This record gives sequence, structure tokens and C-alpha cells, in this order.
Amino acid sequence: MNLPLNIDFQQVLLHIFNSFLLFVILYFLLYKPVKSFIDKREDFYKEMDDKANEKLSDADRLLKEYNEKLSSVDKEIELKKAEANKILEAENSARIEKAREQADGIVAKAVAQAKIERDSIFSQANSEITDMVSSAAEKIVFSDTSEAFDKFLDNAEGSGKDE
Amino acid sequence: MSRKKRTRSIIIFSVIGAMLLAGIILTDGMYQKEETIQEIMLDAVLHESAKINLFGVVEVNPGLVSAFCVTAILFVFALIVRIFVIPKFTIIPGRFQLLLEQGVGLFDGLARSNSPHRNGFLGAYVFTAGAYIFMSTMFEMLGFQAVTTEGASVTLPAPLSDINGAIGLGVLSYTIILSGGIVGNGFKGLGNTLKDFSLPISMSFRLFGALLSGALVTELVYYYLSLSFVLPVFVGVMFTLLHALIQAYVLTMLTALFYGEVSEPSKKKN
Repeated sequence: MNLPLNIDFQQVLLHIFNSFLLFVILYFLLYKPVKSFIDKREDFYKEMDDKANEKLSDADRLLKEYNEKLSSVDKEIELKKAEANKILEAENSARIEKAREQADGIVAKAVAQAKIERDSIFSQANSEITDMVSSAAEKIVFSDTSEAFDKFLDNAEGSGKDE
Repeated sequence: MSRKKRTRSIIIFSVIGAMLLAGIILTDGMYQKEETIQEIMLDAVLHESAKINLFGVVEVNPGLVSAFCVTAILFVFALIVRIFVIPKFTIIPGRFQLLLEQGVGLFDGLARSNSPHRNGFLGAYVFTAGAYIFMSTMFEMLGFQAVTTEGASVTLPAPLSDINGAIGLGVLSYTIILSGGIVGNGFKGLGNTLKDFSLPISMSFRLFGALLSGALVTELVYYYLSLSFVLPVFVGVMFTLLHALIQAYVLTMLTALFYGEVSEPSKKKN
């Protein structure tokens, strides 16, 4: 069969066979190895990128955690400060109370002591007065009563003349 | 540039131009060709007169021999690269590694962008087709000689300037698109691909026409000795290089585009 332009089906098939052969050769010797290398490198960089992103997210998470911890530490410090202040205030008031109690005790003790001393002084003074009185009485009793009487009378006369 | 340098450059270029013109004028009509330009151009299109015996089995057009030569060259190149270069690939690529990766990455990217759903096999195919079209177009510049059945010497042409080679690649590309349609969309994909029944013809003849026009212009220029002083630098090298790049891009682009279109999963109607 004479086709226009000298088309020959046998040669067309031979050309297709040649192209198929070339496809097999280039696919296995060139395209596949080069592409697999490109893919490997892409995977390598993707993995590196993923790792970097993972580390970055870890760092972000840690930063967040530390910030949270820091803020909670501040709160805790405030809380502990308040607690310490409370304890200190309680201790102070207890001490003051104790000191007051001690002072009251001392005062009461001093008052009691003073009372005792006063009483003893009073009793001593009483006894001394009693002694003095008794001694005076004794002296009066046992001394010259006539002289005294005379003096009394003189005095009494002297007062009548004046009138 | 100083005035002195500019004057010197003008003088040098004028002398070279004058010498070339003198050569063109003096050598015009010096040589007589055995064939007329009409015969040469007709043979470039039809490949009727020059046949080569392939392994003593069948007489074929020189284009088919060229195709096998290109495959052999690419096979040797790929083998050397596979054995000596690829095992030494590094994460930070060198120049040659970068060139190879760019080549593979370019066609892989073309396949991915045009057929996002199914592109593994397509990438490999467009890489092969692109490499084949580029190398086979550049092959004609090597000027390999072969002996015809009549005992004459013939320069091996670009394989795709042979209509059989262009049809072969066009049909193969269409078959790949068809397979993508069937695998991706089943019966609907088959129907979608068969709907574009003119595709293998348009692809084949686009390739053939582009390559043939380049070959014809080159034959025309080379036929006249007077045109062979300065022009071949532009016509031979630049035209061939541009053809190689443009045709490799066009066919791979079209194949990837149609493959993506027919293999795209159809949206289910709610």
C-alpha cells in the first residue's frame, strides 16, 4: 500500500520501538536515580525543617511554661510574704500580750509586796507606838505624880488670875 | 569605549565583512551539484531515493538509523552517568549534578503542574520525549555519514524530520495520554481521549512540519556555496538549537496538558 509522504507502518513501528527502548533506558539509568536523589534531599531538608519546627515549638512551650512558673512564683512569693507577715504580726501581738501580762504580774506583785511592806511597817509602827505609849504611861505612872499635880494646879491657878 | 578603540573595531569588522563578501562573490558558481535543489528538497521530505539497509534485514529511511544512533548515544551517556556520576551525588550539587537535576526537575515539574492528580509515569515519559526530541534535533549537526543501498554517502538527518519518526512519537504520546485517561477515569477517560482523535495527527505533523522546515531551510542554504560563509553559523546552529528547544517544549507540554485533562478525576454531582 502506497501511502502519501512515503509513510511506512513498519518504520513507524520501528520508531515507536526505538522510543520505547529509549524510555526504558532513560527511566532506569537516569530519571529514576536522579529523581530518587532529589526526593531524598527533599525529605532530608523536610525532616530538618520539621525537626527545627519541633524544637522551636518545644522552645516556645518551655518559654510559656517558664513564664507561667515565673508568674506563679511571684504569686507564691506574695502569698508567702502575706503568710509570714501574718505569723509575724501574731507573734508580735503574742509577745506584746505576754509582755503586758508580765508587766501586770510584776505590777501586781509589786503592789502586793508594797502592801505587805506597808502592813508590816504599820504593824511595826503600831507596836512601836504601843511601846512608846506604854513606856510613856509607865514613865508617867512611875514618875513623881505630885510634881505633876502641882504643876497642874499652878497652871490651873495661873489661868484663873488672868480672867 | 574610547574613540580610538571604536575606530579600530569599525576597521576590523569592515575588513572581515569585505573579505567575506569577496569570498561569496568569487566562489559563486564554482561547484556543480549532482542533484538539483528541487530533488534534494523532495528527498528531504519523502526519503524515497536514499534508503539504508538496517542490519541486512530491511531497507529503511536514514531517519530511522538516526533514531537508533540517538538512542545509542543517549544510552552510553546515561550508562556513564549512572555508573560514574550518580553515585557521587552530594547534597550540595556541583555543576553537572545541577544540570542533571534541573533537566529531571524541569520535566517532573511540567508533569506535576499540568497533571496534579497523576504524574509519576507522565514525568518519566515527558523527560524521555524531551531528551529524545532535543538530542535528535541536535543530532543533525553532528553530520554523521551513512552508506545508502545504492552505495552513495548520505548525511544522517534529524530522526523527526522523517515523517515515520514524527508519526511514531505522535502516536506514542497519544497512547500515553489514552492510558492516562483509562487509568485515571476508566471508560469516561477513554471516551475523552478518543474524542480528541485528531491529536496524534496534529502532534505528528506539528513535529514533522517544524523539523522539516528547519531541514529544508538548512538544505537550501547549504546548497549554494555562496551562502555558506557566514549564514550557516546562524542558520545551522541557531535554527537547530531553537528548533530543538521549542519542539521539545511544545510536544512535552501538549502531552502533559492533555494527559492531565483526561486523567483528572471527574467531580461527582451532588
